[in-house]
Amino acid sequence: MLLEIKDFKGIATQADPNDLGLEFAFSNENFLLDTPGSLVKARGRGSHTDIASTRMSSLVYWSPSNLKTDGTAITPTWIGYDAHSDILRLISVDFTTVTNCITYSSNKPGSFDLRDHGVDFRLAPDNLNQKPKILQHISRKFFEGAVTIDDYVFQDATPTYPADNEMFLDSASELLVGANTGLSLAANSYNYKISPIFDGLQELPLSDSFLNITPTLATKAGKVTVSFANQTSSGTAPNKTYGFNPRITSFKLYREIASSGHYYELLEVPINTLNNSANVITDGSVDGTTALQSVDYVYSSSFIDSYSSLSASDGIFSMPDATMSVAYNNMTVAWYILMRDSNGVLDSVNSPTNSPSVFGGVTGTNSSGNIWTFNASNGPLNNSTWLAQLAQGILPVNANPSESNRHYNFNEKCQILRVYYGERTSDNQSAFTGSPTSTVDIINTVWHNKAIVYSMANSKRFGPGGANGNIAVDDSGGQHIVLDSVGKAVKLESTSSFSNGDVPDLFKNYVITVGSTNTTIDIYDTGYTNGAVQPYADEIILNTRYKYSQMIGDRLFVGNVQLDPDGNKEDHPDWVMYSEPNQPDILPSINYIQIKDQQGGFITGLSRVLDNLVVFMTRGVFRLDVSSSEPSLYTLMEADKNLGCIAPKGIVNVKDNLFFCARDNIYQISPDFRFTPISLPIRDTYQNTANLESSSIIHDIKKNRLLCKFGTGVQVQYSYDLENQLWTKINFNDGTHKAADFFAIKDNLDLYSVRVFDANPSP
Amino acid sequence: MAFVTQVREMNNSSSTELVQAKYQTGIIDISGKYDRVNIIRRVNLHYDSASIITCKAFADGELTGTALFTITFPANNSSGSKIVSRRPIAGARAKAISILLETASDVNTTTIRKLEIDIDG
Repeated sequence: MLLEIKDFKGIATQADPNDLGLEFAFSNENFLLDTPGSLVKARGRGSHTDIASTRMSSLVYWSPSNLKTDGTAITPTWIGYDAHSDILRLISVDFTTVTNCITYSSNKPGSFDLRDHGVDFRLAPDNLNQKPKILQHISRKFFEGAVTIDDYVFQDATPTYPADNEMFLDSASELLVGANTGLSLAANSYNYKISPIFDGLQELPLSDSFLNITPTLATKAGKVTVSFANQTSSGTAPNKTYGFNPRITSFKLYREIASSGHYYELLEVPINTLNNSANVITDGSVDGTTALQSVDYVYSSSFIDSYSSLSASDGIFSMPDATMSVAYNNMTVAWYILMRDSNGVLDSVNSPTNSPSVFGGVTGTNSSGNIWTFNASNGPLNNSTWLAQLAQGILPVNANPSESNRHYNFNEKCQILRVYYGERTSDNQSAFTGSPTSTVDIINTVWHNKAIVYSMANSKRFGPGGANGNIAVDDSGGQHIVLDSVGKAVKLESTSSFSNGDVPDLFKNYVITVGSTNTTIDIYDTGYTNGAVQPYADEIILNTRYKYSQMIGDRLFVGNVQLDPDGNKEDHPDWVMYSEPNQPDILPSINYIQIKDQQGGFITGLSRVLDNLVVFMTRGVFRLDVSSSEPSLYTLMEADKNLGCIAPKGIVNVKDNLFFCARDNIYQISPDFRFTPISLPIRDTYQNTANLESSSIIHDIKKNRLLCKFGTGVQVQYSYDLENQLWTKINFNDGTHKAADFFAIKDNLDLYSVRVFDANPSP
Repeated sequence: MAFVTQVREMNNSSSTELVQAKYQTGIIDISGKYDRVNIIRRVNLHYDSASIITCKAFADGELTGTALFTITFPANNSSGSKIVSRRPIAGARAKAISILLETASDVNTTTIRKLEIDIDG
């Protein structure tokens, strides 16, 4: 008789050894079963790295999914809790550098729920007297690139209002813009509030403080100034002290009219902006734009858009021979931009005395009879500087009419005039000739004593009225509301503070001014329409504390909570709460679901199967269908009475299968929410282990197995092969290498054993 | 006292940790009926190991203690047959046996592919 064992199996201690047959083993230590049909001796562990003076009880590897401001990857970190020293620590990837995040001196947590959210890492203590924490690598530029933050930042997860010395509503005032400009507020009472936005989306209820303006005539706009401390940092990351919280990425400006009781959003002002912010139309110090007084320059979009035809050799700026009907002396050709008077009538072709000349004084030669020829080298088409200006839409004024005769135009349809003039030989009178004088229509023409032209790129042009309400900033920082605009020209109340060649700016909605200690942001309310109403009722409480969390969709679900910790605190160990959409740290007290387990108990963990939230309680496991975006449609079902989770660190999700430690077995929850006890072959071993609530499980992805540490003993590591559903024991029997307290995994899937011990015990 | 947290990479290719692996079958009835004993004639092992493999047999319901016999299978990773057949000591008789395969406690690799127990009768 030949007995063959060619498919080696896992152990079964919960069985009569007589009945194991060849299907199970009585003992299987340190053999791997991930190669079907073979026993492969497990390799040992690598050389040790000691993290000095620490006694870590958890370690999770975090590689933030965002990037540094220079586009390079952020250095990952280990995060863990030293439950003996009561310190949350960051540990470098090679375990050589330890940075403490926080040391607890009272109300000490026993452990933390550590959750990787990609760009954030949330840490919830199991002691509700302590706040949930957040670790981020903030890689942001603030104030149009003026300030850069590129650090790990550790703080309370729930954001709080910035202190007044960080950010405050500085002033609100009225600013004359004139009637009928479309930029003034109706006479009324206007209250303004600001609301900081954290992490791009998270918003708190509005604060109580506000500022008021009460214009009595519809001739004024509102000006609101918000002041920030200049962003500075001191100390050591992740606990640096900042000028203002670098989680603040923007703020919203809200307005209440006539004490209506409702504040409406007017606009959101981002502060984590680069110097190419959409708010910046042109920044002279960056792009070289200069200011040009429009009285000295004529702007027209046609100069740009019709450049080819205008600059053609037979175009309006050419100088064809002129044949006069009578004899002339000193025949000259010049170009004017014919302006319109207040009635819209164009200036006279033969006497353009109200319009500027943009090129002129080219005197011809009387070649024969009354025919005059002109040397092309003296004309505009041979003047490369002038042509370049034409291509930019801005022609310098060659000669202005006397000030009293000027017909200023802003965004009018005008004409280029090429005109010949000379002295009639018969009477020596100066006269314009009728032929070959020529005109070409041009549009968006600006020549105005209250306008300036920006020498900015053609691509930055705006349409008629496109920059109305924008803010022009002069060389001295003076701010001017744009009353009218077209192309590259803006009309202001006054241009006296601008000089040709100044370096000006033009901003769309607000102006950021970085001072020596503060940065101010000026916003002009030129009649904004009401946006969304304020997001929360004033009395709402958001600072919910929790022990466990799980992100599903755009909401963070938290379990085992405490409401209103700073007021009438309420502990609800059987409540699940959920955040506002896309605001995982905003947990209003009204967003709750009570898990009514008739057997009692409290929540010991949260996880997910597909899009369902799985709530683990000590005496029940529940599934919450949260696939609807409407929380009122969430449905709850209990999986199995008397089947609960006792070990928060024993919950692991493997490809939408959940595994957890119950009092009697380790269970697998399949995606269809069926429960299967997987530890039946070693149930006796499992149930006889002390302190099962301290058990932990980790997924060894490379070998597709669960590494389980039962209880708190030393040699109680078991491996569950997920391919073959077989158990083996891991026995660290080299005494010099120490056993494992728990396991940790890196994002390259390398697995580590972690052991705390006294390296220098007292005799 | 100087407590430290010691971290080691698992399954490390250059490990110096001494690892001993064990595999023990359940109790296998080799008598057909418990009223007679049978002779274990040979134990055959298909394996690949850089160290010896010790095979112990425990008789008649025992899982530990004094082995009925012990066979040593030599290292065969560099030379030697991959399938080795060994005869137990004379008088290896039992009604039921449990086979324990043990590797050395070292850093060497071992793969066991098949175990055969040749029983008289």
